[in-house]
Amino acid sequence: MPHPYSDLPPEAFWRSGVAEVDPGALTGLYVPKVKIGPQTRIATAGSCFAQHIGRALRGAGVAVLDAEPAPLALPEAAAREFGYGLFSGRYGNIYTVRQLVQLLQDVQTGEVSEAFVWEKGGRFYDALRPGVEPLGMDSPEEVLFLRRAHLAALRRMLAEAEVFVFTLGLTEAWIDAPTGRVFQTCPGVIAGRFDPARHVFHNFTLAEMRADLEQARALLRSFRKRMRMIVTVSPVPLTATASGGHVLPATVNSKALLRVAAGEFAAAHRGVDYFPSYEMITNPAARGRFFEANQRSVTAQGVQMVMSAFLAAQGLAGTAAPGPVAPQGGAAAAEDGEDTAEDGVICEEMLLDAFGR
Amino acid sequence: MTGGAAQPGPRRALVLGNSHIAAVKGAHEREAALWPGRWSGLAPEFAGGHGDALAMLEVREGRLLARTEAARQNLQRLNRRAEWALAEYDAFIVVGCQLGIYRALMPYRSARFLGLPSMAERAAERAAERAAARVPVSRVPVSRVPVSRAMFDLAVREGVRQTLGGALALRLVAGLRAAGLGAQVIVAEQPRPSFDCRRERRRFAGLLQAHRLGDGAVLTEVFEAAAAAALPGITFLAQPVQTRHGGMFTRPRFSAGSVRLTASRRITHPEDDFIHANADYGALVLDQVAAALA
Repeated sequence: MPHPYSDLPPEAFWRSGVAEVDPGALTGLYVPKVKIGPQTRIATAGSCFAQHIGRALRGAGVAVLDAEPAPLALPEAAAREFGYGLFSGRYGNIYTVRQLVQLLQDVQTGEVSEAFVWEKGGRFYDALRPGVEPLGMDSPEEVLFLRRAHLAALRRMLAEAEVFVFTLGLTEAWIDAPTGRVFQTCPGVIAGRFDPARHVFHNFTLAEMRADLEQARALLRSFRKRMRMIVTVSPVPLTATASGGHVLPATVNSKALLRVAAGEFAAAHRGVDYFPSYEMITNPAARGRFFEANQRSVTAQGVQMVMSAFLAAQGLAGTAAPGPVAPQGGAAAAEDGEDTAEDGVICEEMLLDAFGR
Repeated sequence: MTGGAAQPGPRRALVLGNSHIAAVKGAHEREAALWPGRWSGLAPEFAGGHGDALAMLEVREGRLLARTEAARQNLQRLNRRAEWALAEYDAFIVVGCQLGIYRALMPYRSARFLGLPSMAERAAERAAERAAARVPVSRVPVSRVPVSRAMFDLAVREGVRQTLGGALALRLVAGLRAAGLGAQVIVAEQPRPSFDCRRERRRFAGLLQAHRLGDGAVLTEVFEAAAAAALPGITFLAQPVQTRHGGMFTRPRFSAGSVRLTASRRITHPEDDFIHANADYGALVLDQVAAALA
């Protein structure tokens, strides 16, 4: 007697869909709901892993917007350290959905505040994106001057974007208690001073992230009506957890919540899609082969596999995803197990690793 | 009565340069006749090169020589030799070779930082307002983008390192180290254009605009700091103060009558040259060199 499982395709079964399939060549995993073409104007943002997406799309000839291209002739590596060419704006990594909401609100109001200028060694940093000026700035005025220009550039870019690609990275964040502002990095890591009375750890719940995703969507559509979204979840584990427990369950908890939030959000809207990069990298059939020796950084092969699948599903596979830039320090650094900025990806969160004992 | 310890001989210096070496060489020849003792502590030898001849110089087994036949021929024709042993010199002086105020002007064409007088707070706000205007991203000109002073400095330093003069000086330092030699390496800034260049507004538009906006002094400060920082182990000699006009120019009397780099003939530059300095300027550079080596 026929039943719902009798006519399912092979990819609906674990054995034929995963266990017996080359994990680098999974099929049927992603059928795009939000279609993009070479002319679609795309904006990208998110955690470190999102940098690969922007690069691959550009490599495939897709019109990835860049509101703030590097204005000076710097070597590419230096430009990236200054936050150029990583995303569609010079906002650095956006790890949490709340951080995205906050940035979009700032773009909308154009407001900047001296309360979010950090100091270190006589240099000044934008507390909301401290990594994009690795040498710091001369004065708080310079920080605010550049932040104003940054927000203005993003406003222009968002008015033009047709699809916003966002990679969810973390649930853990540090919040400025009096204002509720969320930081990109914990105060004191890059600059600023950690104040336990003021800086509060927060682990975003599923409900909070769902609400934030809805708000982010509404804000994005306030810049451009009918802007669509593609959301992904970063497969990169936490560098460290401040939740009080072991980093492994903390990572699984975070990724599970992010995955559910992204999935529910995509299911709720016709113009929001979910791309399963997380599943492709963490697939147990791959036996960890898409992770570097540190079991955290995604290998160049893994990135290539994910982005090739994305481009193929979108009908953009004519141009292969570009090969990643060789990591600084080369193979020797990787063999030493050093947690380097793999593939030219800039990742502030990795700075936490320096504090590990 | 006998004297004390023997006086040390003059410092042997190899002066390398592109067309700008002519001012220094001309000064040395002129002063040798008029004022023989002016640089008694200095025994310079000149090695000029046209085009990319100096870019083709490399240090190999303690010798400075050309990588290509064309460069070798150019050096031979201008200097009657095309190879120099590093050990024969106490100092190496690189003159001109694109290492000048233009290194600060190039990033200035596309970016501005808050410390520039032209970017005073009100102007900055206006720039942000203009940036907020609804102009498609694809049509936004990349000119005059706000950047941090630190990033601007970095771009100037990078430019300095990549110039013909900066790269040659760094190669010399590396070659001297490899050969276990301790000779001093000095870089003398390429003279800034004559203030008479204002007669050709279009050709010198960037420079004149920076001057008009009052940014010259700050750009000079940025360039000089960047040049010193970009060339570790090298003494950087900024343009002699008495030859400057504003932050960005050479006083015309230090440019008038400048001559070309030739093997022997004396050929002056045309009146609209504005780029090269004369022997009066070159003499002041040699004063700086002599002081740096004293």
